[in-house]
Amino acid sequence: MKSPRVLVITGTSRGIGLGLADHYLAQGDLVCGCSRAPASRQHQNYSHFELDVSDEKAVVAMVHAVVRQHGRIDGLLNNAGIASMNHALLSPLATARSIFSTNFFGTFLFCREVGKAMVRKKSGRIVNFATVATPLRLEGESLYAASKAAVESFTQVLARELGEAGVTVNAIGPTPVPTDLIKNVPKNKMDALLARQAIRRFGSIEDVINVADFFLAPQSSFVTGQIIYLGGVTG
Amino acid sequence: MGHRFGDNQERRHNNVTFEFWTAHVGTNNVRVMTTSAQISLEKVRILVIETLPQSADNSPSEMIFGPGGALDSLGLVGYLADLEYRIAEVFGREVVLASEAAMSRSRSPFRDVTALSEYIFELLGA
Repeated sequence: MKSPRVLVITGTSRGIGLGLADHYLAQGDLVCGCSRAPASRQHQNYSHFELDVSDEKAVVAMVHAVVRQHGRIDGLLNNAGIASMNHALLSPLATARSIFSTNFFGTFLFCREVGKAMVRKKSGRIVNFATVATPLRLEGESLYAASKAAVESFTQVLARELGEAGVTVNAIGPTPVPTDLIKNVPKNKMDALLARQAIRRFGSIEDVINVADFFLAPQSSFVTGQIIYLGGVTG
Repeated sequence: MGHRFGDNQERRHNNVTFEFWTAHVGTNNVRVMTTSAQISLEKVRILVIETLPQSADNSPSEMIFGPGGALDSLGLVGYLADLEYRIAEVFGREVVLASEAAMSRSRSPFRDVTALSEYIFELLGA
């Protein structure tokens, strides 16, 4: 019988992260999730860590705890993210720091710490989260798009640094998915955004899961440094 | 299962609060708390040498990284990752060896066994 995979998923209290956790729990995987909020799921194969992804000590402690408990980490899904729509000239520095802390520094810390565990086993899959806002150069999303551009660049360089260690690093670039992340974005803005996609509809959590499944699959060992955008958006 | 991690370096599990590096409930491993008094430079040095990859010369004065070093960049990455986990296992302390303090030093603490042992000993506050 195949042993279950050990997956770390960030931002599992709601939205895409919760959907990913539910999907992989249903597949029989062991899921270790985290968020600033308490766990949204109770499941025998789910462990929840209450932390801020940009808190270095907390991230180090979580990753060590997972490795201590399970002996390895097979996959990391760096989903945790925040967004803020505003004109660049009207954006407070505190907002910029907050967005980069969660979206980039959080991704960096989890990649670094989980990457160490994966390098020790010479195996692993890292899946980061980008956005179509970066290639579409969306007005009003300068900080969010820039933080995710940093994630893309980091993903591609890290893929090269870990390629010989048997660890793949890729990213998913979702279109807007109806979650809390975009609930405050005006409808006309959303319609304009969807009009720029080849396939003009909202994405679904299932669309994201499909790409995550592909990156995590054993058959994807030769796929690294790639950013896959949904909805027909190209980089 | 739930955990709460934060700057106060505490874990909560089933309403029980544990010190950061004491027993971890819910795992098969119960970690032994190591106090600073139990950490000696010699113990750290032994750990540094034991963790070196088999292919490297384990002579205590051997260079680890840099000119004449036994490890290349990727080798150093793997070695330091191993060492961080061994430090957690043996001393019950979770450390990040590639700290800002380490990287800003004029002489790398990763250059040889002696320098690395002294650096880790210092990091552990022993």
